[in-house]
Amino acid sequence: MRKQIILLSIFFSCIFLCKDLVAQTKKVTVSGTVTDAGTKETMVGVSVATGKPLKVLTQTDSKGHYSVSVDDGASLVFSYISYGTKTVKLNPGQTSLNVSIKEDNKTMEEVVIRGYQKRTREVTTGSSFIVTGKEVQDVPVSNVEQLLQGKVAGLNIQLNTGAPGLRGTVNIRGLSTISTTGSGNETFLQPTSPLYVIDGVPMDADKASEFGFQQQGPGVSPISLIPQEDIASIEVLKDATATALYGSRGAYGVILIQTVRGNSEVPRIRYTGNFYMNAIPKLRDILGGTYERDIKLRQINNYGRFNDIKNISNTPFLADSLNPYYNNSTDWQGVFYQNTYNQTHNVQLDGGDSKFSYKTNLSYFSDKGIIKNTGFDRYSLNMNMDYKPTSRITFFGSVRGNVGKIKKANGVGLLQTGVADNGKKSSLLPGPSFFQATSGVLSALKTNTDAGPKNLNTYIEGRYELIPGLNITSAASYDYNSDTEDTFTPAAANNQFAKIFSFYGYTSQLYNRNNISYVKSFEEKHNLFFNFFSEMYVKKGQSSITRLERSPNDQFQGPLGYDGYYSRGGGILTTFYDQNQISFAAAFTYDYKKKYILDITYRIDGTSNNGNKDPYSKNPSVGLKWNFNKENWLKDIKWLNYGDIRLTGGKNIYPVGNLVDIYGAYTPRGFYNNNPRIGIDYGRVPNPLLKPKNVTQFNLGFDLGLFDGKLDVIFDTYYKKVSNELFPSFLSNTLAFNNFTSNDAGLSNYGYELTLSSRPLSKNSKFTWAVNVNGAINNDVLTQLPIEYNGQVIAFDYSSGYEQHIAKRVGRNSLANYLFVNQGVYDSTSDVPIDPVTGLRYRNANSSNVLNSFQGGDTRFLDSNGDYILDGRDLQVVGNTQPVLTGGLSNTLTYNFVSGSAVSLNIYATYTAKRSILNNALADRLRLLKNPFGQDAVIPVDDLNMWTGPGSTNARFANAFDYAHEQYVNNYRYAQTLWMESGSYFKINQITLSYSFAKKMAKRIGLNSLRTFLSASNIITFSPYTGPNPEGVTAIGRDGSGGYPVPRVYNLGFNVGF
Amino acid sequence: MFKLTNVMHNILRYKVVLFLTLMIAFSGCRKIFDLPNEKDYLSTKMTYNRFEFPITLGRVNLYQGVFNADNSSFPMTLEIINPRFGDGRSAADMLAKRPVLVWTGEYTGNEKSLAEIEAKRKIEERPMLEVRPSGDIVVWESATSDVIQPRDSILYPQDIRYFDVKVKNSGGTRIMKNLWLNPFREIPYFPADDINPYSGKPNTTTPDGTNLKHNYPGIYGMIGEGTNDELTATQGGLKGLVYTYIRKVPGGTGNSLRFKFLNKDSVAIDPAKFNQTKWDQLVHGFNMEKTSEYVKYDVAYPIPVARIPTRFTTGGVNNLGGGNIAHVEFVYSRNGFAGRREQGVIVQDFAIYEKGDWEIVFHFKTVNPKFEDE
Repeated sequence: MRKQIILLSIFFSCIFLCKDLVAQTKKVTVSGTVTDAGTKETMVGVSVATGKPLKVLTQTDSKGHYSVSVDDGASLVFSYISYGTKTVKLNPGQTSLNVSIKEDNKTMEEVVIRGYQKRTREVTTGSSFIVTGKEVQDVPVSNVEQLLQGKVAGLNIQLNTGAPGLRGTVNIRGLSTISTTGSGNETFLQPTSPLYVIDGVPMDADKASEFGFQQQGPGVSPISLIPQEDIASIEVLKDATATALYGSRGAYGVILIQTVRGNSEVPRIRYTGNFYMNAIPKLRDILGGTYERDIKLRQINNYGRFNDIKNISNTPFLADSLNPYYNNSTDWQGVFYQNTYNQTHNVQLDGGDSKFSYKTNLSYFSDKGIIKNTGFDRYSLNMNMDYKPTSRITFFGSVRGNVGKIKKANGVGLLQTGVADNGKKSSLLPGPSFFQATSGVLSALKTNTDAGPKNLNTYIEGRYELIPGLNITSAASYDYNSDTEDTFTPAAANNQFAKIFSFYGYTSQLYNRNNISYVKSFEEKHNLFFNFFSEMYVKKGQSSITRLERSPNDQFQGPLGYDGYYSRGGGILTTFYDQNQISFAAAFTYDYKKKYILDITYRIDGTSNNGNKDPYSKNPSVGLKWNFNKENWLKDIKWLNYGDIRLTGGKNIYPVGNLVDIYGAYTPRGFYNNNPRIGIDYGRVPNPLLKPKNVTQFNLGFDLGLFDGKLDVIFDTYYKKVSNELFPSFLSNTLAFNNFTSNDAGLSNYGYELTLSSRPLSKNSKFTWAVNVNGAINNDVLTQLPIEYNGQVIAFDYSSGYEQHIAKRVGRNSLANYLFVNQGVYDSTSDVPIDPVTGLRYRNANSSNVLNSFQGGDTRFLDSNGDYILDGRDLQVVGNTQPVLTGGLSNTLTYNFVSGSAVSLNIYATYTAKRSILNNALADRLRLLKNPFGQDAVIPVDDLNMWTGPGSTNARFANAFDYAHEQYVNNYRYAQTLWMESGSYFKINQITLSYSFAKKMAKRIGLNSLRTFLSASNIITFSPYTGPNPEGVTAIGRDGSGGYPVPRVYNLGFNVGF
Repeated sequence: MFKLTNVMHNILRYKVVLFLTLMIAFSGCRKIFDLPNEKDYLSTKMTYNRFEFPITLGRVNLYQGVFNADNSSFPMTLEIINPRFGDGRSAADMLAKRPVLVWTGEYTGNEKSLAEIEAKRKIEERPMLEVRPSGDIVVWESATSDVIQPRDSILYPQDIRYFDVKVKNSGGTRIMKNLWLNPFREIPYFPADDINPYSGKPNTTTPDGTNLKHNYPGIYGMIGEGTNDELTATQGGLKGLVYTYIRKVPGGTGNSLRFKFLNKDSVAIDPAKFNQTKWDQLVHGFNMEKTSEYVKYDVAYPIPVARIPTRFTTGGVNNLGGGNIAHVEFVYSRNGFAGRREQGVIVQDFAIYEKGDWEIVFHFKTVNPKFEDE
């Protein structure tokens, strides 16, 4: 990062170039060695600069040596990324100078990037946070995103799937949408991941998940294709001013990723290897064999009706316990789950000097999933180079090529419902064997998938300094991504006919940016910065599928012809898009002595996703900052290293409309006289006035550095308003069309973010202890719905069988549940309320059937309308599906040996609190008792506070064994608050123990450096939640059993430098 | 001087702290963002599924599930306002409170005494016409024709009793307008083919005709005395004709029901002749008094007291959706020809809605049943 300061320094130095020439006096040559104050190692690539403004003269070589020619008695400034700057004034005639520099974490002097321009944090007003590349190593992951979890206040990452190659949910500062699709556990919240900008190239991380859980194709996000070893730093931009210049896609926040640059005069080879085990987390407990049979028989004998008892003899599964076919105790979950051993290898070559530097990163990553027949492999080759022929011309170019391969068993998207269904089979049935395998098992284990994305990304940027301070930059990138999937299901797994599915899709993005920036200072007091740029995107994407329901045999897997009867689906999917976008932006920064700073940006975006009547939107932002520690009256306070107050406000957009919203649709209507007919789709009338989603954000924050690095505080409070959210508005039934997509929904988020970091020990101590604690509170409120809804919309879900509806009510958290309220259990039948008019007991559904009446041991559902009938009228809006409090903490303790070796222990944890999640896993578990005649597993319920008979006054769960009565009262319906549990958790994400060998020791075995580390991730979660994993829930808080459990990972890794 | 600077420093330090505190406090308030407060939802589309409520006076009429709140937030307060006749006169008299029986416990059919049944309900003062918090419309048995004029075969617009229902929750208020009652006069029992529903007078087969309509019991397996032919209830003449009269008998406590059989000479048949009748399970009654003329029970009114399937209602306890009609069965057996045992059965489904001393009389009009063995 510090290198970017150098760049800036170069610009500054150029301004004063002439002055320097005049002032030239006697030259001396100074040489010496630069060492790390902590490890005492020599340091490679430290910049040595002099002059005012600074001018970089050289960098230290592979032995840490430097040699410069400077004016006699000049000051030398040594700087290195994430190290403190050290300034030494030469004594007259001094020619040798050995210095040691210290690593520091002064957040104020970090280099940040704003609108593709590097600035120091001190003079920027926006809210952002930097995570260094170091913090995202040591645990092998397919998607580096998951290592950011809990590291940045306000960045809420929920790792809700353990499926290799797939990603969890990422949100910056709360909810940005209320758009949900799908039903039941597959209710899908439109993903609103931040925009990723990788080395200046914007990238859409949600690309692979547009279709929800049931999406077709490999579903691997482009983020999963970036090897973590190649990451130098990650910056998370949160408020409007910081994201303003990323304009039309920056509304959900921006994450900037810088990859490693060449940074060594002598070529270096660095190798990182990880050898790790994925361990199955705790799965469902199941009663096996005779226990299962006994429970089923006891249920029938105790609660069955006359016919049920008779039916035992007609159910050999229950009655014929001596029949070997039914006399088993099969662990079905064991059939599908496995521990796996994996490895990753990464080789990084870099080298070059200040004129030319290069880097090549070669990476192989492999992750075999804990569900058999799943896994993700990635091969990537990333290269970049910096070329600075003169101090006025700079070129940067990069090529990234990545190939991913994913295996998904028979799952679709994020779900493994096939495995979940088969995993709860009765243990009495015989396990799979050569002669004895169910199609469900075969389908999960024998489905043959060849799928994955292939991505090629190129980028080139040229920069020319026209006159001092005035830079022209032009950059272009092309990104091409092809997704393919070929799935072959063998005949035995598909009713004796082999099945073939094939997917092909591509997305491409052509991107161009042209930029002029100007820096000017007057009297070293007034500093001005101007930046103008234009941006252009051409994005295309199309995917198509083919499905052949029956193919000739297992041996012939293609090529296939077309079969009029068995060929299904096919053709181009509706995810087709062709978007163009052009933007113009201007930024202006003024600061007075770096004390008072004013930032103004303005951006005009035109996108083809807006209604064609007005495709342009205008987005201003303003930021103010006061570095109050520079005030004279605070100068004397020693414990205050820095302090500032920031106030920003601005607007951003995100284009969300699709072609159908803006232009309407035509649909094929069959044939007339053998001519195809195309008719207008009267479902939705086009809205040519469609506007993009608007995010207006205000941020107030302060930064404090206290006690010389012992305590750094960053606090932000914000108000984020999302308006113009798309929502269907229904039209009067006298019109031809049914609805149109309006911009009439909106929500707001407000919250606080706090980051505390501390290095409490003395800088001279052999121990270094770094603690970082952060937390964010976010409240979201639905503020607007189309007027005709009058403030509430219930997204009813009657199709999935779950009936867990989602309530969107103005004035409340945007996504709530709409459920029956569970108030415990009736101790006895006499506790059930009686209708005073009819004399009937409170009953389920408006049925005249007397058996629908509630009785002792039944759930006490709230009869909110007082009609003594439990029906849809009694549903209540309850809970908050989104977490309110999120955050994390990390704790690193390092001990430096005198020899130069160091041992370090890092413990890192995340937490989430105040969220309601629906424990459908527990619901499924108890619902397994509903049918003792069924061939499903039985699960122990002894640990639950269940009603056992009158006197169980405080029981929480209704009597689950009374299956005969259950069918009338539906105590274990999904749609109730019994399943709504607190989703709070505290998770130890990662423990890393690492040992760096002293340089000398490494050299003895012919290496330049050697570090080894042991890490364990996803170790333990503390939570009041009764389900398996409070994090393994969907974005709207449903814990279905069909998800992919997150494995525990134990890793042994090496960093070797040659 | 030294002291002064120290003080100044402290002040400045406080200034910083104060400033930061203010900043945090400032941002904490939800109000400054002008965010809407959560209110209960009150749909604009809420409505009653029906606006006409046909009721029969003198018994409990309950319309459940008629109010479609369109997912408005319950609980809500509902209130009947503006009771009026079609011509604008006030009809508030139908909101007058009167004592009615309300249930407090659940009737099971297994109660051992009249007191046990009565302990499960109590008398409360309630308006004759009520709306429940769910929107259900209740017209209690206390609404009788002395207050509410029952309709005739024609309903004059000016006589229609209208009312509005005011619906309120924290989301606002809405008024459901122009609900109206369609009151039919008291029909105290079922079956009531013999009562003209409009006039309350004996019913005739044709309007203003002279042929009276009757109620008939069900007759199975009976042989006519002297005809040796199968006895029927409806065919008349030598085939037999049996009427059921459900009528009040004077005197008594208002809690009795008796059964009586009359032969073609209108002379009482000894109930003991129905020798296989399960007298103890005939009705949910107590203190059976069996004379040669009738069998009498102390019973709770109405019959059945609640719509709950019991062994005294049609279909018994397995008629899960039933329970609204009582069922009696009188059985005798005799030796038929060739030593065959024959069973004669007379069954009647009935309900009585009005408290009183009632009798149910089976009148064999033309042919008497044959009780003697062959």
